[in-house]
Amino acid sequence: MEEQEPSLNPISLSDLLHRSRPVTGATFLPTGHPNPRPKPPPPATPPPSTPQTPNNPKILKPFTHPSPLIGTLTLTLTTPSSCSNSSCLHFSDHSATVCCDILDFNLRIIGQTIKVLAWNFIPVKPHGGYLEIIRWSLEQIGTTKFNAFYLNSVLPTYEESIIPRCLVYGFLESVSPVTNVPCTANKTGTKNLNGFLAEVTVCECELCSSRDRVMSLDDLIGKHGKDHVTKSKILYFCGSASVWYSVMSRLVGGTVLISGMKKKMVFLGEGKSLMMYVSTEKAVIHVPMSVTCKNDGNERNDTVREKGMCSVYTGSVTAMYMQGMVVELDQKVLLLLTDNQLLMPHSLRIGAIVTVRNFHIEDLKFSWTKVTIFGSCYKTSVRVNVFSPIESGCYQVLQSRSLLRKFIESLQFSARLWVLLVVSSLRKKFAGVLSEIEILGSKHHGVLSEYCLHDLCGCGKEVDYSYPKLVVPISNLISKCEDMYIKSFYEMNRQYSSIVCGGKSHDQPFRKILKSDDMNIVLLGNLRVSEHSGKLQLNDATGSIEVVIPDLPSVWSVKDIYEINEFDVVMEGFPRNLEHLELLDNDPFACGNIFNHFHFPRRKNININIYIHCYMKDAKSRNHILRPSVDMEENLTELESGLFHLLLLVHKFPVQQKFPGDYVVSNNSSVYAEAIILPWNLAHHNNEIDLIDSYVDKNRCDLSCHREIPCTIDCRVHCEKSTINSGNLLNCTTAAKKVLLEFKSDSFSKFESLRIGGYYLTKHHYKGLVCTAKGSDKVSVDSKSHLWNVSFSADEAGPTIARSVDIYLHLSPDHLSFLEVKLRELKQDLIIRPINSIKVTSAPTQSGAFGVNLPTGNLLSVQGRVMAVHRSDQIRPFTRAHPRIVPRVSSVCIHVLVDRNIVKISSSLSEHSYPTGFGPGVKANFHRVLLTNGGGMFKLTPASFIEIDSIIIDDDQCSNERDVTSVVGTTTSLLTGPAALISEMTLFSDRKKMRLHCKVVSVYILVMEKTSEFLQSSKVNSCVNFPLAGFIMDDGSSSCCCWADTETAMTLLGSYKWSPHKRTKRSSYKPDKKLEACGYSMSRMSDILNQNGRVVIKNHGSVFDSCLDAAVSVDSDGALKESDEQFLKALILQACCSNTWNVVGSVLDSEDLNQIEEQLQRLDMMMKLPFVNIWASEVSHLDTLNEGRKLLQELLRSE
Amino acid sequence: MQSLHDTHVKLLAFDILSLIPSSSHPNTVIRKGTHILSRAETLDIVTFWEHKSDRFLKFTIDDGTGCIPCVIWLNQLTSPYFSRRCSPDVRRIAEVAKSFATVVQIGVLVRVKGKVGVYRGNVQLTVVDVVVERDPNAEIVHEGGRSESISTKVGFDEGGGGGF
Repeated sequence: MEEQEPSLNPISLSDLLHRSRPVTGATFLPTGHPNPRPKPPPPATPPPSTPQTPNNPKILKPFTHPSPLIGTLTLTLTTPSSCSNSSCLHFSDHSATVCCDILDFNLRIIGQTIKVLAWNFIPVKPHGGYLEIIRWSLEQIGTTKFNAFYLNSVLPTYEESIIPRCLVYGFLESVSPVTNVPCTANKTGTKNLNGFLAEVTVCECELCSSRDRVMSLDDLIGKHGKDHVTKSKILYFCGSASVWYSVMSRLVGGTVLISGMKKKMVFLGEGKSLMMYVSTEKAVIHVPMSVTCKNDGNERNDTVREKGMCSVYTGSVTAMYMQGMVVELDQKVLLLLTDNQLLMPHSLRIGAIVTVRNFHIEDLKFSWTKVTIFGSCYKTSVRVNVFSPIESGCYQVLQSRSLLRKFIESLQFSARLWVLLVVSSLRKKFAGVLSEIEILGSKHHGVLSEYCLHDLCGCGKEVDYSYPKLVVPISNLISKCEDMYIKSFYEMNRQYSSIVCGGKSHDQPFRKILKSDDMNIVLLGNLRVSEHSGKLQLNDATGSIEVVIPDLPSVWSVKDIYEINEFDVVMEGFPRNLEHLELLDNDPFACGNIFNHFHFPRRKNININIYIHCYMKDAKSRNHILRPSVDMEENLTELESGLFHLLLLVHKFPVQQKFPGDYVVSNNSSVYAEAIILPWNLAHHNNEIDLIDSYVDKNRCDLSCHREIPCTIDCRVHCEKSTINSGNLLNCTTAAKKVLLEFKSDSFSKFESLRIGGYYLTKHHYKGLVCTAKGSDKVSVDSKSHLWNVSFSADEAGPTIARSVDIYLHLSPDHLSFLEVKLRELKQDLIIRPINSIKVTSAPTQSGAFGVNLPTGNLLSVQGRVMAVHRSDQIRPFTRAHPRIVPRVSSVCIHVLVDRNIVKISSSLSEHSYPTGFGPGVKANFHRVLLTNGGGMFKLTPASFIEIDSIIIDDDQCSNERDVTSVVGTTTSLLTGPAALISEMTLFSDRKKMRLHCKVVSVYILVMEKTSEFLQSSKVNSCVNFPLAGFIMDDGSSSCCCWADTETAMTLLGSYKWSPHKRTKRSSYKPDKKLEACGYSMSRMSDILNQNGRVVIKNHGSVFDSCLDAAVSVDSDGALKESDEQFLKALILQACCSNTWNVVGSVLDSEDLNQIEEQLQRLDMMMKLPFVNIWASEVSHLDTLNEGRKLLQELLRSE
Repeated sequence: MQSLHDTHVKLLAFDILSLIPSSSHPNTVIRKGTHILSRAETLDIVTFWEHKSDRFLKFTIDDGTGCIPCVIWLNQLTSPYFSRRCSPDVRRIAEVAKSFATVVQIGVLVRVKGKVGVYRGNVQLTVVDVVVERDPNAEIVHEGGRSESISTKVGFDEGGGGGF
């Protein structure tokens, strides 16, 4: 290994240590090497920069000039103070000693002075350093002749011959870590002995078994292939021979020749014993004769994989997580090094190319990610082939072995990875909230141990861990969900539904629901109410996500950490806003992204609403070990005695939105609710009744009563502990009073759990909520005052209600009905009743005294299922005069199915005013909506409150490919009962409205005009007007001619199909022109009318053969284009496809008939005879379910 | 005799099969000697299917009271019958017919409207419109509609054996 380096200034180790900076001396590697040898590290090929590498990798800084190191490579037991890793070799020069690793290791250089030509130096805290020797040369050759080393003393020796009897020659398969074994010596007593085991497979062929022949190592190596090697022998390097660990661990996979070992039978316990070769004082390890003969030449590099064990893998280290317990190789496999007895070289750094030998391989298919792991065991060894050119820190072995680590070591590899992921995730989630000790739990078990032990404690290794659930940081969850949402949007070819409302097509949101079972993840976090939006959120240190909890109890705490195992992630967005979104190129749930403390920035301009829907009954509070819940005990004692006031919550006012930079809303904003203090109090038996009378006079709070109802107080605040007391319900002499409850930001959580229409109990106190309210109309609910939800029942067992109820009051049936009557009377006097039908009228509110533009009407409550929500931009009438002032008002139209009728509610409130989860498929209560005096129109006012009853989470029930019929409206509001037949129509008097089930057979006449801009009706927001439209319809009993206005004609022509609700996937982002525009049909019709003025379609042939004989004519001089004509005919053909319509209409009287006839005559058409002529006033799709039900009921009745 | 000419009368299969050709009125059939019909509508399951590309699709539908042979003509582009019409119209009709042919699959519930004719002595429905009915409630409504329209107009046949 002679190198010709003429002018090099050697550098000393102390100099490098003094600099204490990572530096490389490898950039001056001489080229044109005299001896061909494996290439030194390819200069710096850092792994591709990905988000998985936490920081941009820095390349080691090169030294300013070529600086070799000259020193000695030694094996010593006495190591530098900073390192106790027995896998380290040591390099010392005149100034210092450091740990080192070396490429192209050769036994020959042990104890020799070498010249290090290329190296990396990595400082190790506090004052140490680590040297990576890339290229070296021997300084002095041939001073002493040697061909072997004594194992015990590491002294070189020259062996003339090898005694075959004690010879072990073969491939070194593996080495164990150095262990400490208690040993009994005869004289000195007990002492501990270091040692390690090595497994060598030896050849048993005749040549090698021959005892007579003495061979040199060269002969052996030359004459034997590895095919002969069959038998495995265990070598035990004990005592001072254990210093050879650093060498042997580097020789794994190569050949070794050791002689002078002693055969010993070793008992392993439990009746098992094994023959071992134990090192003696005479034992020597032979050095290969030739300098060029390196171990690599005979190395075993073929991968053998059997029984889950794999022999060898070479790859580059791409990332390292969890203090080196997880090493990522080639960005695809994770090497688990959880056992701290395993000694890895310090040179195992990010960027290094390493060979791993003897490991367990498992392909994990977790439901959240797929990953291959290499599990390490005592046979595993890692050797660095190429040192990392990156400034990554040295691999440090963790010396401490915490309970957690012991626990991890007891698990299967898949579970180990899972625990490490959970630990990493918890660290992220509760960074700054909980201390490391609380998370990882060394003091008392802590969150993690409690969590792990709960699921895994006592589980043996046989347990199937194939579906462990992952705790994920919320930011990762949001990114993942967004990604899955976009993916499924693309997968379904970007199809989406749309509805037609007011003659315009509106997109429907695309909804995707992910179930926790499909993702196999667990949510963990605090619940809180956002001060900005007033919405309930699940929160951790990485982010927050809105959450809908229908059974939110009144006693939830912002301090609690909740674990939610069953939940749905609901995502909604408007397809048009999603088109630009791209998928992430790495998976937020990939192990690397969980391990790395890496934040996925929320994508900008992403308009996807994501929220979690779950039930509190599926959630567990997880922090009672950390913070024993004192609150809960206090709650119980408060409820056990005393006097309570009864309140009825009448209304909640929406939260005023507050956004950064918004100065209009003050910082300490409040939310308000309206309640009625009922003249009923609850007293615990024997305690309070006597006291009450005495207080009456002294205080403002008049507690005297004139009636007592005995009851049982069943308190269920604490799910594990319920108490039952007897008490009295007292009817007070005072009158009911309306109050406004004010909730400051600290008591938003109390506001959140209140329900309109719910009864609440609050403790009587002279400074309490109710007693202070006697003086004023507004009282503040602070964080200490409680409002307990109460329910009355006649049943001892208590009714089973989905919503959580804190207290049940069990009354006798008579008392209960008495109470109900009394409460109803009170309600009627004081509040607006909820309605189910539109006909109900209620107390009028202020009429339009403030100006003409203010809508007036009655405030109502509407309850129903939301069928569709869409934006509808309306032009305000006055803006034509002042076009610069707010030209458009963005308003929202909500279609609600109320008692089988579709009701439209319009709203000009901002997007943030709607509660989380509001959208199609929601059953909601709309409190205090305005029914305008004009009638038929509902408006949401700023005081309106939307309360969600339930969210349909099932995809099937609220499908994206929902039949459009449901939004066109399936029932008519006017007529119920069985449908009439066309054949019967003539029997009824003129103008009597009848309901028909019929189909369009053909179009008789259709006159189309462009709508005048100023005459555009508010009802039909369409650019096409049909002054005359006649359809031939058939119901199986006869046919009729059905005349229709613009809106009805549009419906019958299938305008709901005109918008591209079935869109095709864009091919390579080139917009498909045919389908690009929304409302293509509408715009095309508009174009045709623009070009041709009026278009008339007449049916000259048989009216029953659909549109075969339809003639299309235009008013303008030029003829209609062929393509336009075909387009219009296609529309008509489409209208004649079998759609059964529910038509409400009446027979035309003679006057109307004459008018139509006149119009027909002007178009050279005749009234078709002998048809019945009907005016269709309403058209909707047939609700087959309802119709079927009605028919069956009719039949049952007739039987 | 009452004429229900050009009305798609809702009938069960056994009813359609009992229709006889009218000697006085061409292209019509007579139901029980009282009504003249030319068209019918029925809701049945497809049980047989024979496709001759660019010529016709023959299929049979079964509602439990009988099997009705139906035909969808697919020869619009080659038939001399259509040659007098303008070609875009014919193309469109051919397209529609082809789309009808694709929805007819064995086992699906279809609502068929068509002209009633007689071919080789057997009643046959020449399809004007066919749609696959996915809503099971439609069957009940169809049955109800049939009983209503027929009981009033045609006279409800108690011995039908189908439906209810």
